[in-house]
Amino acid sequence: MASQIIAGVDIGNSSTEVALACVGNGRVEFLSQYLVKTTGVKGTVDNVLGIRQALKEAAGMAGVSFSEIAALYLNDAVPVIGDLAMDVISETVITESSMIGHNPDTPGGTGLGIGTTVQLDELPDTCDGQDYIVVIPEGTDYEWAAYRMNRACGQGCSITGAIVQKDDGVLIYNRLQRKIPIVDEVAYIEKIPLGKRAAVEVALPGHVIRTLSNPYGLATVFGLTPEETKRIAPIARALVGNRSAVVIRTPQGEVIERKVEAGRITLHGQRNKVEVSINDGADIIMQGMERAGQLLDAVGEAGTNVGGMLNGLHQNLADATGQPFDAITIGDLLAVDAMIPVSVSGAIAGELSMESGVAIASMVKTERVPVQKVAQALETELGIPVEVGGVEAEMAIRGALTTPGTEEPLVILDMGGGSTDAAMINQQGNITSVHLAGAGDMVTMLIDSELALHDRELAEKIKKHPLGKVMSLFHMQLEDGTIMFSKTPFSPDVYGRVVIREESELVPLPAKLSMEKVRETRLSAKRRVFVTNALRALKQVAPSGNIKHLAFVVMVGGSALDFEIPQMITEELGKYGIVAGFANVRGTQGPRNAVATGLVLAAAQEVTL
Amino acid sequence: MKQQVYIPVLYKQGIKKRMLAEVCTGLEEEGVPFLCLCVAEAEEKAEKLGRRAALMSPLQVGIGVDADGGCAICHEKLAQHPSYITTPPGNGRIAGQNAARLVKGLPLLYIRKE
Repeated sequence: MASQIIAGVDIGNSSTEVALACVGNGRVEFLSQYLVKTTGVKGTVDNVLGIRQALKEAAGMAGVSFSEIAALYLNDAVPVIGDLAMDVISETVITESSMIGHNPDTPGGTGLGIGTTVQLDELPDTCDGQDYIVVIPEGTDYEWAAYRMNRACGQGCSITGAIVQKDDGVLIYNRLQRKIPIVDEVAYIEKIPLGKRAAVEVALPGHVIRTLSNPYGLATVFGLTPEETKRIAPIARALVGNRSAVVIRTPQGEVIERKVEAGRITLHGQRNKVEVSINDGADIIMQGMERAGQLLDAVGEAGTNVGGMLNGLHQNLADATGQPFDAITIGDLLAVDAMIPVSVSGAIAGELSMESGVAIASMVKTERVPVQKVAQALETELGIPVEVGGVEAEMAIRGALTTPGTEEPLVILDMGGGSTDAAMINQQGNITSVHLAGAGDMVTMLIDSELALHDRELAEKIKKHPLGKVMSLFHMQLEDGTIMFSKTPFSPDVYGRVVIREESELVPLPAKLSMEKVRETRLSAKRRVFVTNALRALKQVAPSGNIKHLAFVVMVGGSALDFEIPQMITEELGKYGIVAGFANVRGTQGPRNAVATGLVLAAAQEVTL
Repeated sequence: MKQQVYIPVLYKQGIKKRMLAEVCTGLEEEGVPFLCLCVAEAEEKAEKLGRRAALMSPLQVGIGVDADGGCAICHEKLAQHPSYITTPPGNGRIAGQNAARLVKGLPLLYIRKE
């Protein structure tokens, strides 16, 4: 039989991969492969655009013309779609006080000052027995502010501290005859209530404030009763670790208390119906998942945060799949503890407080993804016969088995953007597979939130690349502490900053982020999602549910390309005596192209037979 | 001379006091000592002044201020390059701060685009 050129096409949630091969006479020769971003939602006709481009590129690389391709084999995509949500379960609420807690680079002076807030213009030039904290708005020249304060002081007025809107703290401090602590760079200075008792504290460079971050310190400063101390405690907590702070008492209670109802979540499982409180955190929720058994649906308590969250997930999934709202049932759920930045009500410099929260990835099994429609559209568009090949898990295993050093029984762990899938093939060739919610996109969401970036693209870059810190014009410190020399000077926009080391360029991060913090957050986000999910997935596919009975685990999919996720899993699974590593499909492709390769191999078998 | 540390600020005779003061303000806020020197000769380009300032600077960083208030921050180690940072007129304070931050190894401030 004459040989012919065929292509395997794998449409994934985030990327579409093709493999081009020449098959015939019992031989399969792979010619080329290509990867593009999936166009549109997986399993819809929109995908054709991406497939066409990928095929074109692959054909070009192989040096064959488009018309020479004899047949296309499409994967029967897994009918699961995932979504993410995240919400706080605690909130810092400040009543009866306002506060400023931030770290300007250059505050003025040091120490603690207590007094009544007053505008610079209204500062009395007499001794009236009061101590004053001067509020200096943006329009004021530092020379004038210092002159005005010196004059008042000279007349016997007692000034104990100052709050400045501009970055003028040191300048004013240098010109004062009587030295006081000054907090500067206070963005919303107009929000400071005047005529109220306030305390200003600035610590020495390299130190943190001690009085205002201590509830009893605050009680001493403001003469509070035990009941009031209890209410002011959140402020002390919010100020911990700052170099400078201001607390202002507003006993009328201008900030209204708001309570967050975190709510409960009901897990309808095959074995049990389990109710868990979100307040207990992600671990308890995941234990509930185990008790419930295979999830049939999850419902959140109405009128609570988690209720809103799960409703939103239902709605998004209904929109994405085009199924009615009521028909959507959540098939899996991954809860992860997360820190969520929330702007503090009652704060004046735009402070964020990191509140504990829960991130939830969920997944629905939809009706079969209409791959047939995609196949038809492809056929008319390209004029090449299209066949829907075998089940995705089977194809992925076939592809993964081309990795040198593997044999059946084998488990593949497919770590993508939207879901983590696992499939196991035993010695008899039987395949079992599971699809779990939570993968790369969830890691990106956690990084974005926990570093308060509000920039998904930047978070995605942080996830994918290692960091460095530019130390001087010519040297950069890397994550492991080694120093890298650069022949060309670093540009001013990255100087002194933590940067993401992409292949060709350095992407600067906001100046407030330290390398340790970013790295810690990145590693922990990956661990929380992927290590948790790897163990969960393996427990479900392993015979008798015991992970120790598995021998080989091969990681495939986009997240297996990550520079640290595979090592994390190798390390974790090593504890169970499992050989785990990322695939090297066909000995050349790494963890990519497993499904497309499997499709070609399966098709080749048919052709040859 | 080299025992003292400071950032030299070279400016052309006849510059408006206010413009020079802005640069000094930025340096003072960051807490780095500086020394203002008037240059009588005809070289008026900020970059040339900045280069001269960098070469004489005990901290390797120098600032040149144009007649119109534009600044050039130069580094001794970058003698063959154009000035490391240039700031347009009206941003003297940021120029001063950035020169100081360059010495301290801190991230530089971006000029806010109005």
